Amino acid sequence: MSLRAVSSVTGCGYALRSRLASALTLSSTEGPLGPLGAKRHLPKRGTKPLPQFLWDKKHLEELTGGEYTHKPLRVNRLGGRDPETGRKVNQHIGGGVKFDYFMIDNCRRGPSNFGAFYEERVLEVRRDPNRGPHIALVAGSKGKRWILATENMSAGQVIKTSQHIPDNPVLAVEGNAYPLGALSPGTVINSIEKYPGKGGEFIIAAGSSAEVVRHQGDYVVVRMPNKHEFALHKECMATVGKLSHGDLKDKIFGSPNMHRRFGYRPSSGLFHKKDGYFGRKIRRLPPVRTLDQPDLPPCDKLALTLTKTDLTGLFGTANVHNLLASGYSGRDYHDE
Amino acid sequence: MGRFTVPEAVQTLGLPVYDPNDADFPRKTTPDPVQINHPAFRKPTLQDHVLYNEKPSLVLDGTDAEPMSAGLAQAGALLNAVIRKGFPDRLLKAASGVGDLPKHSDRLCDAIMHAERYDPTLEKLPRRHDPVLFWVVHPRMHGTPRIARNNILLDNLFRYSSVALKAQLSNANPQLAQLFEDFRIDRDEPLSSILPNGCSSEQHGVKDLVVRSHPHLTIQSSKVFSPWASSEEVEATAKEIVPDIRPIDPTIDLKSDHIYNREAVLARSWIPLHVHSIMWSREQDQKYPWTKEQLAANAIAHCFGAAVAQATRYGEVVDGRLKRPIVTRAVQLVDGRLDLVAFQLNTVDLNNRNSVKNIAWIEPAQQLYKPGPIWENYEKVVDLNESAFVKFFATLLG
Repeated sequence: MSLRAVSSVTGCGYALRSRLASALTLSSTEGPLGPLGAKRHLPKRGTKPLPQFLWDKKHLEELTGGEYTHKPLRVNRLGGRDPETGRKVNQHIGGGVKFDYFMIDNCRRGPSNFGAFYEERVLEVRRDPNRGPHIALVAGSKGKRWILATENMSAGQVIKTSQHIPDNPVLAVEGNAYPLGALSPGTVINSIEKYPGKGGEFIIAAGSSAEVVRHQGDYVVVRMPNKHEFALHKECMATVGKLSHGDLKDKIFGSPNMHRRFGYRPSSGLFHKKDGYFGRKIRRLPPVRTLDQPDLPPCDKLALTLTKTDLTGLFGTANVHNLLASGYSGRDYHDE
Repeated sequence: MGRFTVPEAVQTLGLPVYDPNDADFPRKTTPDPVQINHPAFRKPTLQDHVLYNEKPSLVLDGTDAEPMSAGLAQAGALLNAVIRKGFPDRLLKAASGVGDLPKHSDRLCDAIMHAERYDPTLEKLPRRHDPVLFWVVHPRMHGTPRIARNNILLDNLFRYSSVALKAQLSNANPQLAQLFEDFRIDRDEPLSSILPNGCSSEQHGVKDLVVRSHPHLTIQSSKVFSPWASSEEVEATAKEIVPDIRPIDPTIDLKSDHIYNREAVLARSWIPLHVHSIMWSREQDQKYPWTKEQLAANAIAHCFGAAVAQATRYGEVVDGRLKRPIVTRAVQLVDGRLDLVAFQLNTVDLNNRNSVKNIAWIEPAQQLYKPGPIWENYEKVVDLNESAFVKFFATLLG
């Protein structure tokens, strides 16, 4: 019996359709009107970013012993495959020339007392084939490390890092790192920590930058390039300035072969019919999201050994002792 | 039926109870690991090394060195030395006569071609890397490695200087003959020196400084060499300022290591000799070559190492003070360029900026000739620069 026939009998087609829809198992992509409804108000498919499986982190840890090194390394690449399952997660990645891998130190920490800085001199700014922004080799009293270079960073420059939050905002200098609480509204920043002490996680793409909007108690509202706003703790560190290599998006590889040399695989080339998810959507901006607690780490996977009873797969009334079928009784035996 | 439990009466007897459901019933699936307490079956640890020391030191290793980030300024700051670019005029004047000798340039060309072309060594050479056409995989070529070529060239230059030039110039300069006749030459001998409490830094505190290298030529003599700077000039260095490379710490490129020699290691250590000079060569990394400043700083550091080895081998250092200044020379050959260094060790207190300073004379990056790529046959010497050889000879004369 089709939906149309039923609706003509009851005279309330919409209510019946909605009851039927709720009775059926609905997928998350379906709207309140079911698969026939509009998709333009739903969250965009694929907006939750997939984990990027580019370099083998286990191999990196084996090579370095878990410690940081500024030396170029040869790290195995995963080609977009999950290292545990072996399945492809990221498309269009694989092959290419084996580039040297430079470990980037995202954590810019400094002294927290007034007037004290950790100073470093920029020794070299170079391209990195593994990421968009240029990288800078900086040397201080604690050693050398690579960091993401800001737009006007050049060799010989001295950059400072401080964790002190003064009463009045500081005069931000490009390349220096300050806590968000020390920056005045309107400051352009990059490499922003999500939570204090976790290292730069926001704004690491070439040419990108965020802006400090306002201070709100213990939190500072920061506007991202897509205009979304986040309230981050005032002790989160950020680097002042725009990231380097802003013209990367205007550069072209020149040939499909050059794409492949950089580790990009071709798209399928087949025709894929577009549905309502495609196309530009004009949506309201989400409210300011406050990042106060870091996400809990995933639970450890347990390796369980099932008992013989579990292995039978029987449940309910079928889950009886396996000897009962041989004539044993379920009652207690009394000693004579 | 309830789960079977071992009755208490049986438990009190202390009898072994086996569970048929256990994976290891009736025989163990995996055997017990054999425990043999013998040194041959123990994995050696760091502490088992013969040269292990509990207190780590900061090591400048010639074979595995990091380039000095701040170049010559860092070398000066680390070694408490003032850097003088250019050798004293008296030495250059004394050596300038070599250019007038007959067939001098032909002999130099022969020395170079002997190293670059005539050597029959066939070893696998490192794969050629093109920074522009980075995707091209070049075939592996075979030939004489760069270090082997440079070592042959250093041998030839020293032989030409000590034998041929000595024979030709000794009539005009008898002291020259005496200088060369007593040289003892050792090839590829290790060199290690240690300066107790030689460096201090924020990160490491006060630690011993160890400089170790493997020069191709270690030239020693029984004569004591006179210092290049007089005592008045040495006293005047107390007022000079050592380069300040803040915020960089001078020790950031040194490696902290527990394995080092506690005494100086030099060739012919059982004979009372004095180090005249050390010569070695370096092969530049194709992807990350060192700059001229970094190479010059490296040469100064190794020359310092030779001077400290000489100072500490016969007890020249008493109560942390040097009895007399010690001068050593170093020649580093990289890609046809000679870094010529002379280091006068006046003090072993590297942390005291108010005392007299050590002095380093350097002629950096003297291009002797332009070598070709290692994957091509070198047919003819290109851009021979005889003035570089004059300075090389001046280094040996001083």
